[in-house]
Amino acid sequence: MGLTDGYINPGWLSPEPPFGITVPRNINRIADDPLQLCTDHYLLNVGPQHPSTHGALRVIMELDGERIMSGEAHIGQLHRGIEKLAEHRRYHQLATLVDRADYVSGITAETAVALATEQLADIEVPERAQWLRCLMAEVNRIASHYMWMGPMGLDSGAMGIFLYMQRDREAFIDVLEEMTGQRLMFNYVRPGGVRGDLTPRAEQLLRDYLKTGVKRMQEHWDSLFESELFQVRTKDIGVLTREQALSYGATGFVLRASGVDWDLRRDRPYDAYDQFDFDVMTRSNGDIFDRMVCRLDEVRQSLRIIEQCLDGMPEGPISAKLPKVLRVPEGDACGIVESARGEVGIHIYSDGSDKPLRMRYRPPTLYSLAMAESLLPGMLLADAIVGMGSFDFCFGEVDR
Amino acid sequence: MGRSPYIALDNQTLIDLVNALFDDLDIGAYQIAEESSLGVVLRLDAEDVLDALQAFRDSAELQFEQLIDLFGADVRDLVEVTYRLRSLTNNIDIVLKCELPYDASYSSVGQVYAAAWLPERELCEMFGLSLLNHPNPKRLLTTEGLPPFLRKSTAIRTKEEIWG
Amino acid sequence: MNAWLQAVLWVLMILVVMLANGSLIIYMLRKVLGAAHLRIGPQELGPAGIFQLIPDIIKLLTKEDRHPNNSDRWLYILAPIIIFLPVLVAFGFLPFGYRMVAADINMGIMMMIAFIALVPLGVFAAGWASHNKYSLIGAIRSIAATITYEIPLLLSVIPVVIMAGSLNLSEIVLAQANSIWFVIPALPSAIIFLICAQMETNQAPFDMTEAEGELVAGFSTEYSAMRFGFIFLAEFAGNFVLAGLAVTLFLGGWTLPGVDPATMGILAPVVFVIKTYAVIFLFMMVRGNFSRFRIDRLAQMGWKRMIPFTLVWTIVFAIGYRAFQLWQPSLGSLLTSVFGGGG
Repeated sequence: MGLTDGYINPGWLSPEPPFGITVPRNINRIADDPLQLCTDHYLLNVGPQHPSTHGALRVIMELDGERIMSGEAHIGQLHRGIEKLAEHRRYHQLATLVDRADYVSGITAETAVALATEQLADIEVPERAQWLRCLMAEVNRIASHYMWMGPMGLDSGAMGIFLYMQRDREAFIDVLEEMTGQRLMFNYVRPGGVRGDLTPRAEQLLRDYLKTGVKRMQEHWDSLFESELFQVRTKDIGVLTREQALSYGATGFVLRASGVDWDLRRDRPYDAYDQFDFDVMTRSNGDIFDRMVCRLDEVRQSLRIIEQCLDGMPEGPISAKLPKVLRVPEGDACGIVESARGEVGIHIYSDGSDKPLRMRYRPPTLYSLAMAESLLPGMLLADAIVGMGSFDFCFGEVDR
Repeated sequence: MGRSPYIALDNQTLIDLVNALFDDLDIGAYQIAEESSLGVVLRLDAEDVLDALQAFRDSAELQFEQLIDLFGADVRDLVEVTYRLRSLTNNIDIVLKCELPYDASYSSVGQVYAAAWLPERELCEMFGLSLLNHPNPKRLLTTEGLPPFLRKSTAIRTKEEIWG
Repeated sequence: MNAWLQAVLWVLMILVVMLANGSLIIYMLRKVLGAAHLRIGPQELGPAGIFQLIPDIIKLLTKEDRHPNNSDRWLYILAPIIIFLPVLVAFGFLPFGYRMVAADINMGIMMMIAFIALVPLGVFAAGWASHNKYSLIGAIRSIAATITYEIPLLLSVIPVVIMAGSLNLSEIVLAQANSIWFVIPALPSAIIFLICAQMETNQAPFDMTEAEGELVAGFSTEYSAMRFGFIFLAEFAGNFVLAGLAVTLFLGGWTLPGVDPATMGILAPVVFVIKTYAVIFLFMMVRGNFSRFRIDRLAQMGWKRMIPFTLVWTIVFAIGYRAFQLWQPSLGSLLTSVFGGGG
């Protein structure tokens, strides 16, 4: 059976069947089985102000009863032209822009900008600054993971877990606030180093959490993941095979949940990640449950990295000496980091002036969106909501 | 302590492998070189890109399983389209670059790497290219009738320009 | 007393109980779910926020009552009433104490379940009339779920009827006062009854008709102002009715073990209400902690598990109970000989 066999053209889509959008042949087709129900298809507009689309996603679904025949995502509601604006900012100012792209885990995107700029300008980053970047990136990663896992419970109907996750996220947001003065838009990592040093209170907050963190994660495991009702809703649903994940350019937890052992922190170590001892957690099924467990395991590994950071933080300056207006040589460079959602790549073209000629932000969730779109046909509406949520779209990032 | 299970290919080996691969293919002029900050960069004509990507994906030695990123840039009064491919097995990236004049048509590579379906739409709307061989060649982020934003000729309007 | 006057008084009393119950459940819901969710709940107005309900009611009364375009106008207006009235009537069959029941009829259980089963009709009317696809999906789910839970609900009542030998709720309560609470011999029935009651009242994990994560608010998406208030009130009243029915059938109703029912007097309604709220508390804890069912899984659970199980269990129980009745004297002497007895 070819990829497009059984595709029903709803008329409002394009004339050609898109790759991956296939409908299983035996779903409610009159010609195939006269005993099947024969009902009219109808269009359902989900979003952009639907409670479970996590931002400004609009999906137009063609439904047969509750079964989705096809779906098309309409994005762009949050498009602010960040890539264009970056052409009018100096290199130090780019961090504030990319914070607003991925507003849940800003540190990693800032790090990518800093890495690209440092490659272009050939800047040596002090060791303590590298360690601080890793520490903050992990703190931010955990905060971002909890920000996603809680609403996933909400999507599947378990309201309680959302606030338990928020409680844990709050601990990490407090640390970020203490270190950077901001709760979301950090503007912390800059070319050549970081903006602020580790404060004693931040260290105390982290050490306090490390004492109880594993116990709290067990709580989450028991109350959400162990629940059979939740497993029924997530296991074997929204399965992304290894081949699909590779073909659709999946990175980060989506790739690892589909069984590919790949983590930029280990395989392309940047900053100080080659000095930490941590495992890359993979799962094999690629369903919603695996994506969630994969990220819960990642939280545990991040806690390990944070502990090693706190124990082994080297002394020294936190930033390289740089001129006020940074001019970088002509050329282009790419900084790639493992963000909470996948790989964030910042590609900067420079023409030798103090502003970049072009900045490309590689949004990992834009690629996830194509995967989610290809998984929609054949799913039930209730599953589609959880399935789309499981890719953790951040629309500030998708639309930029 | 990074214990990557993948053995990274070094850049020179990759260049040799690509040269050997292209010997058998009907590829026009191309240059391959190691650039300081990007790794191996392959520059080729726009019409050869699809064949090259196909060969990279299917080659047993190279195994570029993933298209990581696809985007354009308005440099040298041309649209430079960049593809970043990744081989997980060989733990190496390669950057493909081709140049297109303004208002040219861009042919989709989505049938080779499904990852390209959405970024291609964004590329074409942002640089004013027309998208060919794409199942859904609509604009992705903006509405109809807006200028191609990322071209240098499209200026950001200041407050004074808007409000007088 | 004039029979008509008496009837009017009863209806007024039921309305008062219903409204009081609605306000109490709202407060309880906020505080109990809040505690389960690490939240605080209302705290600004009055001590511990107990007067929060007053501005809520003012809000409901003063909001714009809007009708969606192309909605089925009369059905749209009628639907909240269709949801509200059956629950109001069902209140009338609940025995709050000795002779403290509005309609003490012999078919008590049947009437009550019949009236509660009318609620999904109103839900469907609301979803259909709203001219909104989300509401329509919610309405269709509600009808599909009705068939799933009504049958096991009815079947789970049969053991109680066998034991009490009556369909009259007051007599069932007295039968439990004379023997033991029926939850002990008929525990599986009680569990099935509680699950079905959870479904009947559209509470998580069976809130597919509302499913705010998927269907926004399902059948009540388009309702605002007091029409929405009616739907809400009916939901809370349904909560109370189902919990009260569970207490009446399985937990001894208004009686206490070891206390002569004749001497309960004014204490009887208090006992009944406390027991009912304990069951409602159980409903709320389940509601606050579990993921939502999917409608096809619910149908599978209902048709493939609960209906066969209750059928088999009812037959087994009936045979066992008859055998127990026949051999009770010899069983008693057997027990006496085993445990020595007192002589």
